[in-house]
Amino acid sequence: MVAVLNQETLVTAVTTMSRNFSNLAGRYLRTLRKFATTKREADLEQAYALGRKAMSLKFGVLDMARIHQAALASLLAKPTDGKREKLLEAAEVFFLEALSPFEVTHRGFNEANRRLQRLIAEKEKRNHDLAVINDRLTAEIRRRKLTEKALRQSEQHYRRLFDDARAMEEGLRDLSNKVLDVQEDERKRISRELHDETGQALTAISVTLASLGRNEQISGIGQQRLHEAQDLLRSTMETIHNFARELRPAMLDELGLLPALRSYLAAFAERTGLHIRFRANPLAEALTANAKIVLYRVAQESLTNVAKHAQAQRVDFRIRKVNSRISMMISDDGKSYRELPPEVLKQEHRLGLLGMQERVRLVNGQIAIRPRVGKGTTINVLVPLNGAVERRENNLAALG
Amino acid sequence: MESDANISIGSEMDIVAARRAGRVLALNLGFSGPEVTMIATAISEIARNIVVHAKRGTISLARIHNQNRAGLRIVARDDGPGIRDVQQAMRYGYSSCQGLGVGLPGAKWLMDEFHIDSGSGKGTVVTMKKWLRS
Ligand SMILES: Nc1ncnc2c1ncn2[C@@H]1O[C@H](COP(=O)(O)OP(=O)(O)OP(=O)(O)O)[C@@H](O)[C@H]1O
Ligand SMILES: Nc1ncnc2c1ncn2[C@@H]1O[C@H](COP(=O)(O)OP(=O)(O)OP(=O)(O)O)[C@@H](O)[C@H]1O
Ligand SMILES: [Mg+2]
Ligand SMILES: [Mg+2]
Repeated sequence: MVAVLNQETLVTAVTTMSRNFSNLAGRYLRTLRKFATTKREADLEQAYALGRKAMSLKFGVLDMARIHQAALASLLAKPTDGKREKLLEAAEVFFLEALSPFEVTHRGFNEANRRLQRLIAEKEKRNHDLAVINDRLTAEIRRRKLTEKALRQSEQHYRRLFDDARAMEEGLRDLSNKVLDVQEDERKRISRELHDETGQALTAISVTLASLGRNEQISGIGQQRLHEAQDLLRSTMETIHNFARELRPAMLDELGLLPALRSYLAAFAERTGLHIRFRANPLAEALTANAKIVLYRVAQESLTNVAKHAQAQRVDFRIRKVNSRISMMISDDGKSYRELPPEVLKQEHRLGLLGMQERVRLVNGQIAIRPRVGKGTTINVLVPLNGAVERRENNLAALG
Repeated sequence: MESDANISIGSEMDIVAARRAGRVLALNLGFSGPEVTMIATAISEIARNIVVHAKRGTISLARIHNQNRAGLRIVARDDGPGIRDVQQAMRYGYSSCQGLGVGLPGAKWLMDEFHIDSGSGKGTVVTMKKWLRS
């Protein structure tokens, strides 16, 4: 059904086309014949109008050539005697006019084509430019990625250096801790030697001298020499006793920190003439053995400094519990040094304050040395009551 | 500037007259057959535009020179309604009245130079030139 319809449509179209064609060819022939004899411009205008008409009917240049050829042949078929030349001349002008509309469209297409070419060239240039920009972007991205990588690597490098440094510091701290332990052991050993061996020997000598003094065969000058020897022996025994206590107070291990300090302070006050006020919270005995030794050594060094440098009258010595820590505060009323400080601490032979700081650090404590201008010096030490040991072990574990 | 011909345009007959004058002048100047046809065609189109769109106007023809060439200038002038959108009117296939819309762009393509000055309510002046090939 559809096929039949299409067939019919096609047939109709073809018929119309050929009717138009023969119409056009007829008018072309008539106008050309007229023009050949009269040469009127109006007929040329007519030729142009015919060309336009043909174009509007969708005929092409080849159709026009056929129409023209047929018209010319038909005109030349009749005898024209001598007018043949003129006929050909007129036909040429006429044909040009008829083709002129086609020339117009041809030129139009040419121009459109040129414009298209220009557009394409522009597009290609733009594509090229884009490609260049793209390349540059890619290069830039690559460069940035490299920089980023380098940065990451150097960061890793520095982190490794930092970790190494920290590990080294931990190692050093561990080492100096061991050194101090060994030192303490050594002091303890010497102290015990002095007390047990030398002290026993001197006691034996003292007993012997006493029994000699009861001997009546020795008299006069002999008794006097004997007394002198006994005096010398007593002061020697006292010196040795003090020395042994300085080195390692047996009391610290046997009776605890506070009795040891109390006894040390009493002896120190007697020796130096300082007035020492001592107040202490018994909770300090809950400190680890290491922390107690540290406090004891700091007290020793601080009081030695007071005696050596302060020209003080009184010392206030207090041990308190502050939150979960024990605070030991030693204040003198001497002439303080103005700003204590880095340069003093740096001098090599000044080991007292430096040693104090090192010891306190090893038990995770804090120390503040505060000279109060014109009012003496205060040393304040804070050590944790518990957790100090565990934390140190954690540090060691972290070191691997 | 002096003109070789001034033709008033108001009818089909006038279009033919303008073509004729253009053809004669072009032949005298030494244009080739096909070029003469192109000039006549361009005159046809703009003269027809005057008749169709503006009723009446004039076409002036003149021989012209530049440094090294002689040529022909065609000026079409009318006081009609003018063209509101010149760019649109110059587009191939555009017509305000079911024409083919090849008149203005066609004339432009056939000539060497083409200029149109118009606007709604101000009439239309079309100036076209064609130069002799040396
Ligand atoms: N209580 C104090 N009063 C005044 N000055 C002090 C006091 N304690 C320390 N100083 C000053 O600080 C300095 C540093 O003290 P530090 O204990 O480090 O060294 P030192 O006592 O001079 O020598 P060392 O303790 O090594 O034998 C002392 O030389 C002294 O000038
Ligand atoms: N002299 C004029 N005055 C006013 N309008 C004009 C004039 N010449 C052209 N135009 C306008 O410009 C349009 C385009 O002109 P163009 O000659 O290209 O096509 P057209 O005349 O419509 O059709 P054709 O192909 O038959 O010439 C016209 O439709 C008309 O609106
Ligand atoms: Mg000191
Ligand atoms: Mg037109």
